[in-house]
Order: sequence, then structure tokens, then C-alpha cells
Amino acid sequence: MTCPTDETLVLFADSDGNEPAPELSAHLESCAACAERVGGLRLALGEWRSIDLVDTSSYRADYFATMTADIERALDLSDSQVDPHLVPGPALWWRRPLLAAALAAAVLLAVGLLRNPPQTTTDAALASARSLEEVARELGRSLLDEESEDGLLDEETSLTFLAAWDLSQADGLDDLPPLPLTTTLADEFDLLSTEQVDSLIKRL
Amino acid sequence: MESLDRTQLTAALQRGDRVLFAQLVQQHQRSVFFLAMRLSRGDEQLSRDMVQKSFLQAWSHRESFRGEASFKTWLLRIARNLTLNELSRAWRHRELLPDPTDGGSPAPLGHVEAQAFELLETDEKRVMLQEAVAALSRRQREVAILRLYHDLSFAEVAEICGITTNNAKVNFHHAVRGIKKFLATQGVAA
Repeated sequence: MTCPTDETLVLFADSDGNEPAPELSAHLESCAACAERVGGLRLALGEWRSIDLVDTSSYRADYFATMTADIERALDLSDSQVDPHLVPGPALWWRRPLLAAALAAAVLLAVGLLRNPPQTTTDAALASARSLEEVARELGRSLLDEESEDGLLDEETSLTFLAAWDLSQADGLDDLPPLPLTTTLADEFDLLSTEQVDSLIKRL
Repeated sequence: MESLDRTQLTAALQRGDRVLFAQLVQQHQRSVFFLAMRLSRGDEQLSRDMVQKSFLQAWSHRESFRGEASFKTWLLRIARNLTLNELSRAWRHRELLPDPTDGGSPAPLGHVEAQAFELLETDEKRVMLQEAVAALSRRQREVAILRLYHDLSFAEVAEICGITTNNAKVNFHHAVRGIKKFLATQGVAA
């Protein structure tokens, strides 16, 4: 092994208890120059450690007793206050979760409304549509009352129709084009044969 | 408190055990004070302030202590950061003093007879070492101080300085070389 780097020797001389690499130990046993350098480094490091940068001996126990008391007082003061760094006020409102959540919801709502404004339907147009709907419903009810003794409600009509429909009767309709996804009851009737319509009327 | 392991210590801190914290103050205030003193080149008032601020900050942020490092390492990291910030701030405001957070050119010490370091008087050695350490870069200085005077492993030094263990070792090596070189220029064989 060639002589190790200066860094390796410094770290070896000041090792913190870790075992050095075996080849380094072997080298130091065989290389007097490196062993001498390590010895010199150990001596210097020991010397530097023994001479502190600060004369710690001049600070005695009573000095630290006073310091402890000061720290305790400062801790008591910080505990008695809410927190000197958390001064309540508008600057720190975002630290209140409920307030922050409410504000976030309001912002989201506002953004949503701005991006998708509600339909500007006037009250008059709405009233007109509702009255038309009511007329249609009345008409439907009167027709059903005439046709059926049961007096089915218009909402139930389509369901009753479907429930009464015999799927076996639809076997002959296989060759027909598929039904569009959107269809009406009238469209469906147009597709039925005369016999099928008669059958339905009898059932109803 | 000695019987508390790190998990128990963490739990006690999380629930705000003031009695335990008072014991931690007693146990670690010297380390914090002397770290601040060494970093600030003996500014006692600043160091006292840093001790108080460090413990206040440790107390107010005790929830963030997870026990991954020792309490001492965690506390010294707080103290180191506070002290360096304060020194930087003070330097910016005063402008007259050299930046204590960055190694500048040391003031000439005058002629010293060439002799072995160990033969100097203690006070002479201290002054010599203070100047040698002050001449290092900020990183080298803090690594050297933590390693030489706080009995910390390279891993702990790295944790406090926020660097890798290898980086701490490299900086320590450069610090040792820097101190030896400085002493040599002063006519002292390290």
C-alpha cells in the first residue's frame, strides 16, 4: 500500500472509536514516516483540545445558576403569553383552520360562479313553462281517465307499459334496426304492428 | 432523567413536561453557552442571549423533536443556527468589525520565537489557537469547534451543521491543516 493521503491520516489520528481499515493499520506498522505523522497529529490535536478557545474555568456554578434562573423566567413568561410570535391579529388569520376553510370554500364558490354563471331565466319565462307543463299534465290525466278504469298517474304510465310488455312478443322485431337511445312512447308505438297495439289496448 | 431513553424523552417533551425540561436546561446550558462563546470569539452577552433563545426555541418547538438525533445534538443545532444568524446580523449592522462568520485574515500577532506549541504559556496558546481558528472558513471553524471542544462524533457534527458526515470529515481535515499552517506562520511548531 502506498502512503495514505493527509486526510486519511488526520481522520485516523482523530478517529472517533471506529476501527481503521486493516490495510491502513498494516501500513502504519511498516511505514515509519506515516506513523510519525500520525503521532505528531495526535499530539497536536490533544494539545489543542486541552487549550480551549474559551477559558471555561472562569465560569463557575453560580454563573450558571443565574443563567438557569433567567431561562426559567423566560420560559414562564413564554408559557403565560399565548405565544410572543403568534400575536393575534389579521396578519395571522390563516392559522385558524375554521376561518381558513370557510374562506377557501367561499373562494371556490366564487370561482365556480364566475366560470359557470347561472342561467338567466326570468321569472316570467319560468312561470310560463310551468303553466304549460301543468296543462300537459292535465291533458294526460284526462286521457288516461278516459282510457283506463284504474286511473293511472302519468308518472306510472311508462312503467306500467313496460311491466305489461311481453318480451316474447318482441321476437319478431329482431330484424328491426336498434332503437335510438333517446326515444318517445309515440315512437315505440309506431314500431308495433296492429295486432300488438290491439293486444296492448286490451291489456290496459 | 438519565434513565429516560430517547423515546421516553421525546414523549415527555411532546406532552410539555416542564420539570424534565428544567433538567435538560441544567444539563445542556454549559454546552450551548460555550458553543456560542467559541463561535462568537468570546462575546459573553451575545452568548447568554443565545442560551436563553435556544432553550426558548427548543421549548416552543418541542413537538418537532422526534428523537431521531439526541436532544443535545438537536439543541446545539438550534444554538448554532441562532448564533450564526445573530453574528451575521450584528456584522451587517456594525460593519466595523470583520465578519465573524467567515474566516478573514488574522491580525498579525507580532514576532514569536520559533518554539514548540506545548512550550507556550496557556494563555499564549489560547490566543494563538483563537487566532488560528478565527482564520479558518466559517464551515471549517464550526466543524473544528464542535469536533475538538464538544466531544461529538463526525455524524453528530454533520447533523448540527446540516452537512454530510463526509463533508464534516473533509472540513475537519482542512481545519487541522489550516491551524497547523497558521501556527507555522507564527513560528510555532504544532
